[in-house]
Amino acid sequence: MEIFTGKKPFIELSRKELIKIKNQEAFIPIIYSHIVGLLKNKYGNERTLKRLREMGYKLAEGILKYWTPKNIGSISSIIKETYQFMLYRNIHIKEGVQIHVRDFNCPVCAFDIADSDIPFCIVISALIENIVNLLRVKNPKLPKIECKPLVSRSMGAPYCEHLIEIK
Amino acid sequence: MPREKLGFFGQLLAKIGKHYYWWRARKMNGLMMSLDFLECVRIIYEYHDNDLPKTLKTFKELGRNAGQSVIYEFLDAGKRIFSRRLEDFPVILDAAWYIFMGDHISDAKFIPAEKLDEPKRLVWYINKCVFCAGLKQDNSIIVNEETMDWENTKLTWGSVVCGIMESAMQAILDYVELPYNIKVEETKCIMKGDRLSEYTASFLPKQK
Repeated sequence: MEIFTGKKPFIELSRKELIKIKNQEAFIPIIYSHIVGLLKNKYGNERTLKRLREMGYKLAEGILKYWTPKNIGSISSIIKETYQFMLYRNIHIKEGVQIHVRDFNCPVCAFDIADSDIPFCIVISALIENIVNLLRVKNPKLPKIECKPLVSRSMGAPYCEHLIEIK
Repeated sequence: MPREKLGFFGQLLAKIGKHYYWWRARKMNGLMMSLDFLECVRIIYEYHDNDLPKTLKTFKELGRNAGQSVIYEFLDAGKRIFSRRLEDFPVILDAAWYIFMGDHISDAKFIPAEKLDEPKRLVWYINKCVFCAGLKQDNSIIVNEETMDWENTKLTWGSVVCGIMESAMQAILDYVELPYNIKVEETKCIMKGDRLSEYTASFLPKQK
């Protein structure tokens, strides 16, 4: 039985249209932490980390299909713009021989988990790494990078920090 | 003491308060959320050896856990808009949905039981579903009525939302001391060929 006859027209959104929509972030870390738990129990730490890294790579590929940062001149500008795009906030970046990305509000490290033996935000490290590396096609001057979590809130640190090394 | 009925000011407060809580919430871009969700589903899909119904069942459970964690933050503030009258639930639902999803529901109706053995229901629909957006163009996981085994499972791509709303509304029912268990299902979903996304919450009397 039809209960609603369509006060508002139904719109089937495309992924491109999702760019203009904001969602609540609160559910992601809770769901993600349960998924990490399931993976760890079934596959162990090493395979879990590998799978989470793959997830980050896929996320980067997915995002770049529909969105590209405007300024792809440097690694830090790409990361800053990506954070603004994804989470509507700024990120602290320290540049030197290596680049440190410090995040006090990691989108995947849940507030109530601080005793894990793996960094949940490895998915964010992989996302950053693949976004920069995939953008090298558009800007060949960008160096190839490797990104890994240095400290993580999921392991008890007060913030998450990603270390970027140029290869 | 929970109020019996939501008056004019309670309804007004719900309309204003939801904007305040949404404004305060940390937000994520819709594209990022949708892709993140897809990748999380993919992991569970692999975990269950590509069994989509099992995956969606797990996701409903994950949604329940997530809803529980988040709703307790709002229970104290929300008590001003909670009432013991089921007819007020469309207003409560509208506020909760907006706070959780950042979008308005398109319409919600409370449907009284027509027969004795039928539950009272709350039905709502949304005209722009962010969960299924672009999924028809993405064939990495085939999602349709058959692969979801909807006839038997009543599980859809939005099962996680069902879980979130189920635990949130159950917490509200318990808070106002109404003797119901709640069950939320996505009764219409574009991934199973419907033209809109429709959710149904059934109020099942608790056994004494």
